[in-house]
Formats: sequence, structure tokens, C-alpha cells
Amino acid sequence: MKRYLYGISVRGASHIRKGTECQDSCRVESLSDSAVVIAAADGHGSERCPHSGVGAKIAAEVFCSSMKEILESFEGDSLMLRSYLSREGNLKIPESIEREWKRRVLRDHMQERRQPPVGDPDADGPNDADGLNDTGGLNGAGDPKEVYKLYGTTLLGLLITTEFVFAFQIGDGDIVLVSRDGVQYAVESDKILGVETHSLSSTDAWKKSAISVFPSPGPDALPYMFMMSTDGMANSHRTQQEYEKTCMAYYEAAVRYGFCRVASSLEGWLSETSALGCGDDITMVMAYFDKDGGEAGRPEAYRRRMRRRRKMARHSASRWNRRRAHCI
Amino acid sequence: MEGRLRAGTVLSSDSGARYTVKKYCAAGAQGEVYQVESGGKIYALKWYYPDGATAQQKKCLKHLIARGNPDKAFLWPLDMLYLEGSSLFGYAMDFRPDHYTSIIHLMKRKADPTFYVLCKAAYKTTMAFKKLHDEGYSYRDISFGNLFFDPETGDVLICDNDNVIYNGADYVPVYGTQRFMAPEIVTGKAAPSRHTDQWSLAVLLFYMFMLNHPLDGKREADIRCLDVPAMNMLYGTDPIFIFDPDNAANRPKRGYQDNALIYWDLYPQDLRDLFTQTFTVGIRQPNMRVTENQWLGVLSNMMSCIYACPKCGAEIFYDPAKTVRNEPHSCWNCRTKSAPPVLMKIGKNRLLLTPGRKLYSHHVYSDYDMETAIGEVVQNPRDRRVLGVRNDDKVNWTYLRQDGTQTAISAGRSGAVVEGASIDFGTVKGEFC
Repeated sequence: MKRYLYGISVRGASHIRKGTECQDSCRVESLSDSAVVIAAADGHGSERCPHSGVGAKIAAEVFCSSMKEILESFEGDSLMLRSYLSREGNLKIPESIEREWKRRVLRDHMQERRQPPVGDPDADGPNDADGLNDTGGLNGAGDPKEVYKLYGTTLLGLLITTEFVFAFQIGDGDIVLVSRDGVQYAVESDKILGVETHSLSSTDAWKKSAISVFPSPGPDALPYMFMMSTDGMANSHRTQQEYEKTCMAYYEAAVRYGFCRVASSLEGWLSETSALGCGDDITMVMAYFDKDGGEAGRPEAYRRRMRRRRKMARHSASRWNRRRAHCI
Repeated sequence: MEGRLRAGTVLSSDSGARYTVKKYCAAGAQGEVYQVESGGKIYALKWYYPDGATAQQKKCLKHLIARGNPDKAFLWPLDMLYLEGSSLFGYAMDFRPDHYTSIIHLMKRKADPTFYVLCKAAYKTTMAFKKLHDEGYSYRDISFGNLFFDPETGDVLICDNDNVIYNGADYVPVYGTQRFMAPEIVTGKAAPSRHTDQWSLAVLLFYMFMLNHPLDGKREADIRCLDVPAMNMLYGTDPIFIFDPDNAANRPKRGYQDNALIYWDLYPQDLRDLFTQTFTVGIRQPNMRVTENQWLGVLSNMMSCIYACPKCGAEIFYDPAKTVRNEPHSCWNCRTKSAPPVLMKIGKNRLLLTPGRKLYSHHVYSDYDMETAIGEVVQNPRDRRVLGVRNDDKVNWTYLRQDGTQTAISAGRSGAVVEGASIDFGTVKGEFC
């Protein structure tokens, strides 16, 4: 079985018009021959969250590093790992992700000397989860709770092993498994109607997390593709069915033309989707599993091959022009 | 999501019935759960992964099915199921209704039961494990993932009963769930047993009441990655109870473990004492852990001694320790101080006499039957301020006045609630105080 991973964040059409940066982030990590972790985060992007792009980047990093540490901790004991994720996935894991995200946000905020100033989150002191000390005061000038809001983001994550999959979500966005059987949602998220969403920045954010642990589809189901997208993608479609149709179309394109063709076209497709849709940033991360493929099928290799072809085409064109000129 | 069995797959069974897979529900550590249908009835199916479908597991399941359910709270294995042409198997059990919720929902505040319901759920859970233990079995995997309760009634359902095994068995299907395992299992010094079940039960009850792990205090909050070595230290080699009266090194950290701080003082001293016993001396001396009967005694008193705050209506636990110390009872919600209603003391059992409160069989006969009502606190129709205890039992009671005179209380009759008077139930006396 071969696996292909690819993720990209595109700046939304409305962000381009307004001149604001892309506040989405994604991360793809191959942890071993049998495990990969992918994550996507959607910074809220509102005026109240000016550093949400940083928050999203930290969120994706935190998810990947947490999964890596848990995987290393169980050292190949797949049964125990699956048991741990099933039992603690709803509790300890989201708690520790929230805690670590908040710690890193405060550290980044302090290192970059952003306003308002806060105390050192790594300093030994009686800080609690929200940066308050035991007497309820603040170690820094700013209230950490207010600082977290500046970095507000959602988080989607997947740990995919050969035996099982762990899906994690705080806030909106979608994680789906696409196969010839259709589109299945990997996790049933705790969504809020309208434009509001749950955020890692809120107090007790872990309580709003949703997880699921389920078996990997298995060799009989190949090829299949996990797709993770921030809400800009689904919101650019009129209905959920339309969104699922697009997911299916991407999958079918990967099956028919190769994953690399899809990966290399994805940026353009997502930009177009945003422009014709809601105008929001869109992040999409894909993990494609197939019987065939190999080095040549990877997106980077595909891009290298295309660059080489273009270069050769340019070279032959210039030779042709020179010859033509000579003839004339 | 879909599991390994497709919808529509037909499975054979030991009972001869055929089961049809309706849909995939969830996956756990040992197998997948499906909804199946047979004879027009819906069941749940646990279908083992290849590494869990062992001959030993099959033997255990067949034994449990033959043995039968020790308590209706258990979603007990009912039938062995097989797929033609495959060595894999599973078992059918009753399907858990949707309105049952997990302790995780309680922690995430997606379920908000009353204190009475919470006590009732804790009581029923403990009672179920008592019955299992009394028959010489241990559960071996008590954790919040296996318990579901009805937030309206307090009824409980316990799933994953396939790991139940008789005490002293060589075969150990599971060692338990991380953080619920007794320290001697975590350190590899003992195998699961009734004593380790008692530890896990205490952890589960602590979670239900305090919404926090009893060992998750400052030390856990200071760990950035709760990996296996860290968990071994916290829950195995060096566990410290967060409210250890002699060791304040692991108190709950504000902001991380607020639940424990909020709830600990809200419950009666009796309950706190049981937790303290289990998680201090009981850490290293398994035989000092609180038994099911001790829990049931305290929980029944808690269920029977809740009263409403006269100002805001919030539930308040009557705490006899406060009465002894001459401390007033104050509402956790509005802080109003209030005097508890008249109490009936029946041996070790207590009952606050508020209108409509039931006198259960356990109050009089100490048989842990908190389902069968044998009496009720009623209001005098002519003066609703005057309360009485109505006899709904099959035997006559005797009403003993302060002046020493006696009157028989036959079935359907009531004895007035008067401080200093008492009711003789035959074997025990209930004193109004």
C-alpha cells in the first residue's frame, strides 16, 4: 500500500481583496511507515483575532507533536494505543492539546513582544490554566484569557495508522473519508449554527472537542482518501451534498489521473472555489492510500517532472525559433 | 463510518437465531460495535478484531452467557455470533437506548443530572458491582467508558462485560483502563481482582461526584506530555491523593482542576472520608479499600438526606458531621444558611423527613434495597405543616411517644413526625431528631 500526503492553504478571495493574510494553517507529518498525522487549523480572522494565523499554525503544530509523543510513548503497542485514544481521546488528549496550545501562544506572544504584554508562561510560578496565579492575580500586565482570543483558531486533526484512525476536531471544518462507497464523515463535530464556532482560545475549549476512533479501511477498500478541509471549503458550496460531490470528484480525479495531478492542481481549484464561493481562506489536507504509485506519484516528484518538461519545452522552443530564424 | 462488517451481513449464532447487521456504531480497543437485528428485536453486537478473537475469549464468553446476568444494569452477553467462513466471532447484548449518557458527557457538562440522580446512579453502579463480586467474579475494566446512566432517572447500564472473569483465573483478558487501574496493576505487582476493582470503582465514583481524577492534581497539571512514564509515576509508582490530609503536594490546581475544588466541600464528610481512605491507606493496602457495602451505606444516606434550599431551591446535602460540630448548613448556590428538616435515624441509616420522601426497605432492613418503598412522608390534610410517616409495609409498626405511650401504625396509617418520638419497626427503631 502506498500513501500520499498533501496539504495546502490558499488565501481567500475576500482576503486578497482586503489585503489580509491567510489565517489558515496545515501540517502533514509522516511519523513512521505505519502512521501519519495531518492537521488543519482555521484562524478566526476577525478584527478581534489579529494573530489568529499564528494561533492556527501553533494549533496544527501542537496536534502533530502531541500525536507524535503519544505514538512514541506506546512504542508500537497498537492495542494499548488504540485503547488509550478511545478512552482518553475525549478527555486527557483535548485537555493537553488545549493546555499546550495556550502555553505556546503565550510564549510566542511574549517572544514577539506583541501587545498587551504577558508574563512568562514557562517561568516556574503558580500559574493556572488561564495564566492566573493562585491568588487570582496576573503575572503579566495583560490578561492571558484576552491574549488567547487574539490567536483564536479551530483545529482538525487525524492520526492514521495501518490499523486505526483517530479523528479530532474543535470548531468547524470537515474531516471525511472518501472511497468508492462514497463520502463518510470521520467525526461528528459539535457545531454551532451560523458564523460562530468553537475555538481553542475559549476557556475549557476541550469540552467542545469531538473525537472518533475507527478502524482503518483496510486493503480491500483501496484506494481511499482522507480529506480535511476548513469551513471555507464547505461554505463555498450551496449544500452539504454539493460539498460531498466535490470531495468525490477530487477522489475520482486522484483515482483516474493520479494523486499528484490532483495535488498539483489543488491550489488553483481551491482559489477558484473561494472566489466563486464564500471568499474565505481554504485549507485542504489529503491523505491518499492506494495499491499503486510510488516515488513518481508524489506531488514533489510530479512538480519536478513537470518543471523538467516545461524547461525542455522552452529549450526546444528556443531551438526551434533559432532554427526558424536561421531559415528565414 | 463503516466497520469490517457490511450492513446486511447475516450472522449465525449459538442459539440458532440469525442476526442481520444493521449499522456500524463505534470501535473500541478490542472490537467494533454494531446494531444487529434478530426476530424483530434490535441488539448490539461486539465483533472482535482478529487479535482479540481468541479461543480463551470465546470460552469466557460462553461461560458468561451460560451463567446469566448478575444484575439488570449489565449489558450482559446473550448469544455468540459467527460469520460463515471466518474464524472471527462476537457476541450480542441488549442495545443501549440513546438517552443513556456517559460520564464524559457529565464532565463536558452535556449532561446535568440532579445530585439525587447522581447519587442514585452511583448507588446502582456500586450495587451492580457488589452483585458481580458477591458471585466470585471481577470486572477488571471499570472505567468511565463502560458506564452509562440515564440523567433523568439515575438508571445505569454497564457495557463491555466480556472481560468479566472469576477471581483467581489464570487468563487475564485485560488489565484495565489507564488511570483507572489500581497502582499494583500499573506497577505490575498484581493481576486484576476484586480489590483492584474496588480501586477502579472508587476512581469512577470520584469522577462522578468531583468530575476529576483523584490523583490528578498539581503534579499532573505540571506535566506537558502525559505519556506512559508520566502516567506510571502518577498512577502507579508514586500516587498522591489530591486531598490527602497528610500530604498537600498534589492539591488540585486552580484553572486546571477547578471541578475538584468546587465539589469536594459540597458533599458530606462521610463520603469524603471514604474517598480519603481508599486513596491514602488504600493505595498500598488493597484490603483497606472501601467495600461496596460501605459505599452503599453512605450513598443511600446521601440520597435520603438531600433537601432544597428554602431560598433558591438548590439541592443541599445534610451532613451529620456539621451537626456534631454545630456548623450551620449553607447553600452552595446562594450561600443562605438553613436548618435541615427533621431527621429520622434508623440505626446507621438516615432519612430527612420532607413531604413525598420514600422510606425504602434498606432504611429499615439494611438490605440495600432502595427500590421497594415501605413508607412515605406525608402531609396532614388538615394542617400541611404537620408531617407523618405512612406505613406502606406489610407489617405493623409501633409509634412511641415521648411520654412512653404507644400506638400501633397499621398499613396505610401514619405516625406524626414529632421530635423526641420514634417508630419501632420491629427489628430497629427510627428516632425523630
